[in-house]
Amino acid sequence: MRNEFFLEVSCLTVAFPKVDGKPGEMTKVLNGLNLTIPENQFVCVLGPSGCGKTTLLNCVAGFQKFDGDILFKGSPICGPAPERGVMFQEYGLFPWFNIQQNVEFGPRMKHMPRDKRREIADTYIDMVGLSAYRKQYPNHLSGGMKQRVSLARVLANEPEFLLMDEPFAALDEQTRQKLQTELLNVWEKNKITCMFITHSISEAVFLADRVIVLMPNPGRVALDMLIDVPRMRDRNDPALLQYQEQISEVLFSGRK
Amino acid sequence: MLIGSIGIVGLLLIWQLCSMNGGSSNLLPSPITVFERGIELFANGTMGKHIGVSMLRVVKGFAVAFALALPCGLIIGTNKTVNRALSPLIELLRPIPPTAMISLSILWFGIGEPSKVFIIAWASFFPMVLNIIGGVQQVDRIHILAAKTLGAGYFSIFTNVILRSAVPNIVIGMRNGFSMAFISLVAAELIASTSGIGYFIQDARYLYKIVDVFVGIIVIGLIGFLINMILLKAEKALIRWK
Repeated sequence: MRNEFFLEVSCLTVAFPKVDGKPGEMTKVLNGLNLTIPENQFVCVLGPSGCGKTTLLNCVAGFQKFDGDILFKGSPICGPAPERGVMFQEYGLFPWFNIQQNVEFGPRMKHMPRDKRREIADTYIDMVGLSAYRKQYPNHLSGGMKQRVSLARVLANEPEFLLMDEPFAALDEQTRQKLQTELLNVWEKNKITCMFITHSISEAVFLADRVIVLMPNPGRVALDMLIDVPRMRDRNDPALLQYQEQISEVLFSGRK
Repeated sequence: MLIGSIGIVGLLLIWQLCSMNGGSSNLLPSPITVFERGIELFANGTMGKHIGVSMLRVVKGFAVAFALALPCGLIIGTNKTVNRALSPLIELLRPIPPTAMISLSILWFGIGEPSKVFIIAWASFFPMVLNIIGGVQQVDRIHILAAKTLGAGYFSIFTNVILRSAVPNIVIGMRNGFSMAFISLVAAELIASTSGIGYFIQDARYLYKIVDVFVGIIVIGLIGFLINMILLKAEKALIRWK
């Protein structure tokens, strides 16, 4: 069965024009990367800047041209699609739409009747605790609230695969930890397959079923590790701290 | 409001002082004389008639310019090839002042209304089209990507993302375009007019009615000021999300 893996990445190579290089000179950001993700797994991709983690997400999202193969449920990826929802670090909310309209956007694109899409939007706005802010515009919300709206919007579109590009990186530590817990609460309800990009080791081991560490020049998998700790996890759990140490070792030994 | 009126009050005081001391009252009538004459011209309906004619011309010219600038701006802004092909042409035509087009407009459209509308449309087209192009080009890539992942097709992206994100620039372009339409009004009404504020000023000049010239100029300034205020309010209402 081709459908054994939800996502199958084979020989993924992405090159960009070299900065200050001669015309035509390219730098390989990812070089022959292989990766599989089974359904319902929460995967965190971790690594230092320039290791190609966002490039990997962009390829899977269909934003980036690449060499190699990426199969989503057995079919090649050839562009963005609603089945693969994306949460951006910069939120990506439409500032001209209010919160309700932003969350309704996906269902509206599916030509869903107004009442039905309103009902869906209300469900997800309630889920992220922003019922009182339905008619507010994104520019009037804090960073944490914007990211909650972003989560509600992507979930309201009922994607099969949730791609998150450092969604909490721009938030303060307190908000970040709160949103991590909220994300896991939401995830526990529908167990949607997730690829979460981060450069925070603690965030990765707190959230993920599996952590993939990429190293740069060119981007390659340096560590692929299952986090075998039941949720909800205690951030100070010695088992989690041990996982963190193992990941740190790989990251810092790779930098030498 | 109070601070904003300091400049206007200051200018009126200086004007009054200059008209009282030294300046020829024929060439520089006092603001009070101008005000009284203005009231008289409004009361007997003369000024109302000229304002009505001029406003209709401005609106017609502006509407023609907007009807052309919106599709042109959207197409040029969204299509790189069209942009490369047409940008040099726009940059070539843009600096040509409306007054330089008067002779051509008479040859093309005669001395009737169309030539006046053409001059006004010429003046207001370029600020609008350039602002619309800029607005479309400034659309944030992340909004387009987000729309794509939420299932939007090209048409939906155009109407829900590109057009909406360009609205602030379109409104600014409309405001600039309207200002230019007004600025070009006097030039347009130089063409064999028998009515309009521009004509009124020209006629007053030929008849050496200096007070009337002042009234006409001030009326143009006041109308422009009021329209700008209305457009600013409209801009605020349209772009509540900013």
